[in-house]
Amino acid sequence: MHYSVSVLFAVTLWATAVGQACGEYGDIVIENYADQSGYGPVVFSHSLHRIHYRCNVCHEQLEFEMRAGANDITMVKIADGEFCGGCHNGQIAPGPVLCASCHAGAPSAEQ
Amino acid sequence: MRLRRRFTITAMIIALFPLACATISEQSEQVAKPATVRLEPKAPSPVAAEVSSRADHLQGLPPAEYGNRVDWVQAQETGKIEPKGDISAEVELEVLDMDIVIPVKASMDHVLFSHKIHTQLLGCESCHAGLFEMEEGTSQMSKAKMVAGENCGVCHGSVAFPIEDCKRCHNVPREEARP
Repeated sequence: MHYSVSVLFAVTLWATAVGQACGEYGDIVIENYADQSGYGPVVFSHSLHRIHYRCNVCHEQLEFEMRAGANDITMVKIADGEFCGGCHNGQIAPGPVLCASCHAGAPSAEQ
Repeated sequence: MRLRRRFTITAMIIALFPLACATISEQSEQVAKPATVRLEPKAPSPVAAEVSSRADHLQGLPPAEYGNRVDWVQAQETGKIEPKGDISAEVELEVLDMDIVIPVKASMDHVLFSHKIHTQLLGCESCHAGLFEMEEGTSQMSKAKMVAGENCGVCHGSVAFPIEDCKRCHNVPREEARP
């Protein structure tokens, strides 16, 4: 019992002291098929993209629906140049090869 | 039992190490300050304090009190950011310079809606193909709908500054509003 409590205390204190990465307003967690494929969900940063592009580029030209969860994004579509693949093709922006750059969320415990 | 105790002590040392380092560095900074220099910096404003905790890519952008603490309209107007309106080509969006006053039934000031700010970011169809009627005064809008993610709440509350930032929109005094 004391063992568990002390470990819990140590971990909590460590996390508080060192600080943890946290999301920001406007981040979208995209979890369509990633989890069943063994990857973590995608954490999309609106602000990071907003600096370079106006809203219309993704929400009109690339046809991302405004509502989170309304887009049926798959890796096949991205490879075909749809959704994220409109830019992330290795020419405009890095291609979809560095999985953890986008699939930055923690996978579910069952995986 | 002894092993457990040893593990507990080790865990405590690991946990307290960063705190101890932080304390020591603070103390050493205090010692290093010359006694003759009187530094009395003003206390940082709440906005400035929040801004310093923003992500690296947001540093240097004009501050705002709500959302991700960036005034994106000002950032674009002042040239701090130069976001493109097209994936690869240089395309200028068709900007509509038309302000409308949206009357508010309750005691809040009326809303000044700037088409200019919005059409610098989106085409007409993003808002006028389901969200809002074209004819002024015919859209059914309410704060309750916005909180539920409808009307302005599609963006303002998830990505654009949230509706808690009342005065960004409710800034037309009731007595000055158009009839």
